[in-house]
Amino acid sequence: MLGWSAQTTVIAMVLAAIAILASRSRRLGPAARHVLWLVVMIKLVAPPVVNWPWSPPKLWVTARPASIAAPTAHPIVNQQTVREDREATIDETPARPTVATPAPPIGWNFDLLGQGLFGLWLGISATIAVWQVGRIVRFQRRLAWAIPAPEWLVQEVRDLSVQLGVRAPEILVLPDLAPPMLWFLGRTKLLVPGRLVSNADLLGLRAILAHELAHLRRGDHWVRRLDFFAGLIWWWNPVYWLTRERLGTEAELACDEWAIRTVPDGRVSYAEALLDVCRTLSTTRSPAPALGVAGAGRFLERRVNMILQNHAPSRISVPVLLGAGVLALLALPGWSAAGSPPAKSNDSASKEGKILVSSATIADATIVASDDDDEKDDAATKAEIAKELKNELGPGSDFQKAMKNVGEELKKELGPGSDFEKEMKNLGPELQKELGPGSDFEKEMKNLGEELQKELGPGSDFQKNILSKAKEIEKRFGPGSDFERKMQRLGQKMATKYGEGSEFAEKMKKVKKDAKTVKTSSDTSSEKKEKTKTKAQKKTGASKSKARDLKALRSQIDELNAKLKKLEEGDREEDE
Amino acid sequence: MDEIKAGLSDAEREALNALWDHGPGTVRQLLELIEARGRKWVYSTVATLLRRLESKGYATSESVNGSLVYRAAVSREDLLDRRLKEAAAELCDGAAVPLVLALVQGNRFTSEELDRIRRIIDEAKTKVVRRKER
Repeated sequence: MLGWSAQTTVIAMVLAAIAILASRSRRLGPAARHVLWLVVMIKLVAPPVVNWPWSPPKLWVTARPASIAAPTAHPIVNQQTVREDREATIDETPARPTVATPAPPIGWNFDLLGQGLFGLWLGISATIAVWQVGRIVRFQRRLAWAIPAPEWLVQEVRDLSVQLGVRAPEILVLPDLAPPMLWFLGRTKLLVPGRLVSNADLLGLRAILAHELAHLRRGDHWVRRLDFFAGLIWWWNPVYWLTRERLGTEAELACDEWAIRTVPDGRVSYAEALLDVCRTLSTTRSPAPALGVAGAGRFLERRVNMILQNHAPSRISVPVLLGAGVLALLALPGWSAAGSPPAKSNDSASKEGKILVSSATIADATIVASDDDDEKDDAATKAEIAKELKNELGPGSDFQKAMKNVGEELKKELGPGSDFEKEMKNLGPELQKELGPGSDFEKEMKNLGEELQKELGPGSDFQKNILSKAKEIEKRFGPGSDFERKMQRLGQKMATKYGEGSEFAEKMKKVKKDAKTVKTSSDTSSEKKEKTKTKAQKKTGASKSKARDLKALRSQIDELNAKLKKLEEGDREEDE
Repeated sequence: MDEIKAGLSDAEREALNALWDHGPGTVRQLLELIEARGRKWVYSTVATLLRRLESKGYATSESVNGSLVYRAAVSREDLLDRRLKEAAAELCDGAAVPLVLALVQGNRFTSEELDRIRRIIDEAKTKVVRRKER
């Protein structure tokens, strides 16, 4: 139990740190922050029914101070360790991680200390439970002094309930100076102080009623029940008190948002009504000791400021809900300490959690222990503890009821008809809105097409570039271009080099003359002449082919020019 | 007012409400109104509830032509103006009672705190008035 509490505290601290860090973001409204804190609260009360397959961070083993490091409140565990110590057997490794604590140093009976701590814990928890139940009973009894609400107020609440989508609660008017309240023992009752009914400005009263109904709409009464249960276990834990305070604060702020959204013209009236309620409470000389809530004044100021200026949404966005869901999934199941498998139990037993299983093993342990005379007293106390545990946590107990409430709350939060479901449903149309016809996405796509056409289509820079390049090519290689002139010059050069009257031609003539002179000398020489002749012919043939190439190039350029002209004409027509 | 001896149960409250809304009436007349409001009570239940209201000081009765006519002894307004010292404590720290959600937590605000909030609201008010004038 101590191990579980330390582990839960550590995880809850991590979750709380995440909630605190996330709350710094201005984009998160009170409703979103509330969900993050709710994860912390659920972690605090959720029993370790599901075990993760991996080993947990064994923080508590090292983090616990030496004085409470060894003790464990698990009676079965203690039983085993005691027996093992006596029989001096160390071969059997106990199933539970808390057993694996180091051997206690000499001079300290850690088992006893652990039991003492656990007993103290249970004792104080029981005292708190009795005290709280007493307060509930007294409060319920005082409600006998309430009077039926006038018909117009009933109608007002009915209208607002329809507007907020909640079942209208029963309304009672208190002839007292109490603040407006929701009371949810049995059928939910909305308690309105008579002062507000007789002299409040109607807009302000309407906003106050909307605020209270918003609590029902958001399911804050379930959170309050959860908080009641958590308070019985975690009264000593600062993480619990922080979570409780944050949950209360964020819920009030979220409901204020609902109120001003439901009664948009009532901002100032609502702030006035709120101040009036606080003034009345402060001036009432309550016979009970003053219930000082730290920072109540500052918080009231923050609320009033928000009521007068707020524009934030009071709904939780889907990403926040998903994030909180992932957090919860990661953190809520109990980590199987030291990789020990979860206790085997059938379906019905697993619903009641492992605690019942452990209480059964406690009973076994007492039977085992009873054969030893010395251990009889010990066993009796353990049986008592087991009984107490069963009463506290077994069927029909507050624990079980609270667990049921958690389930119901989750169902309300995430099940059919819940905000989550609605948001999920809204996601479809929203996506269609985002991406479908008429959406920004579609417009952007259209714009992209238009831009591309503008960039690459007729009249675009791209086209102009292409045209200018073509013109450049024409300029370079077309008629009157340098290229043409070069080609012409080349032709002329060729003509002067190899044409008539050129050195080449004269040489050729000489060669011919020489050939004539040598013709008679040998056939082979004439053959040689023939060869040189063909060579010369070939050379002139090469210049001819070059000229042909030139012609072909020119015709190609002409063709390109013609195409360009056609394109340009086409463009002009389109532009016109 | 002084004769009121005890609080009301839920059923008694409903009967008193019927008495206020209907005005003086016989058990049968009041039963008709209660039935019209969706309650399935029998004659004897209403008669018992009215008798209890009378014993607690909320109603009086007189015999008219042989039948008992009940009328409310206190008005709703009387009860609204009532300040119950004994209930005040329990209800004022209601915010801290489990199973309660109160509009404000804590019941002690210093006068400085209240004055500061008063100023904030007044500033907002003048702004609204100016906006309307424009």
